Amino acid sequence: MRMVIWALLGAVVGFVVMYMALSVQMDFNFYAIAFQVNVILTALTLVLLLYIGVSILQMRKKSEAKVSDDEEDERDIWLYKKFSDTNMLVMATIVIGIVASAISLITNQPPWLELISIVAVTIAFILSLGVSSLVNKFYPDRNLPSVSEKNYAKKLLAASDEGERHVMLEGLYRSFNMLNGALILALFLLVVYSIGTGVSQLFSIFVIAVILLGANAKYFLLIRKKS
Amino acid sequence: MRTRLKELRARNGLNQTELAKRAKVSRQTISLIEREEFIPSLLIAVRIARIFNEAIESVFLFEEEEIE
Repeated sequence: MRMVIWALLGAVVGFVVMYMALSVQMDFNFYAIAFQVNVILTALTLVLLLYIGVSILQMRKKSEAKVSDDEEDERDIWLYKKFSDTNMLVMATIVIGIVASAISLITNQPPWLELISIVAVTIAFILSLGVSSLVNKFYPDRNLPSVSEKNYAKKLLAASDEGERHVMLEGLYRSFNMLNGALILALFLLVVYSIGTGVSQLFSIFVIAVILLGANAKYFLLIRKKS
Repeated sequence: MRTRLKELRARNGLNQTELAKRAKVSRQTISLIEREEFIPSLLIAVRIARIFNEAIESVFLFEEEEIE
């Protein structure tokens, strides 16, 4: 029943948005604010990079410090949460950095801004490797793969115990469902934007469609194989 | 499923990290079991029960309707 209500609500909202898009001519010139947006996003990337750098140092220091038995659990919980937060920030920094670089390259911003944006996103990629490799430092007695190893993700999953896999499964499944919904919404928005502005977003629509088809095919074929 | 893990750890003076090392799992897994958010496999349940020198059914407590 809840699904039906959501589907009907979605249909109504979709109809209204589509109707508005067809009747109202969208007039949005991103180029007019591209420089400002680029500077803000690049500055945000740099601030996040700084924060990630400090977090890495904090985690290294904490993992090397000698603690009593009573404090051992607290330290591990702190490291676990800090590691998760830092990983999330690294991913956010990479995404924001790519968007900033894309804006500077596509809208022909000053060379210094293009350079800073690209260098920032490159540092973010390097830091992502640094953060991932920290896990070996936290748990030296565990046989965890190195980030540079081939099939790192597969080996990490294999080296994880059942509790960790349970947490990963829950997180990944929720994230997969959210991503599916978000990408379908993105397709819808791109169609509306294309119609509203007359600027074709077909390339992005094709790319998102291929990603959706590929990711879902991989998931469902894997499930099917385990029958 | 309920568990006496926390109580048994306290009785034996073990922290989660130490119990995890002995049971050959991560501290996160011990924490999940303790919070009753995850039912461990038989193998891990046996390991944990042996560490405390207890029978599995006295460490992991099931309601009658769960096993019916």
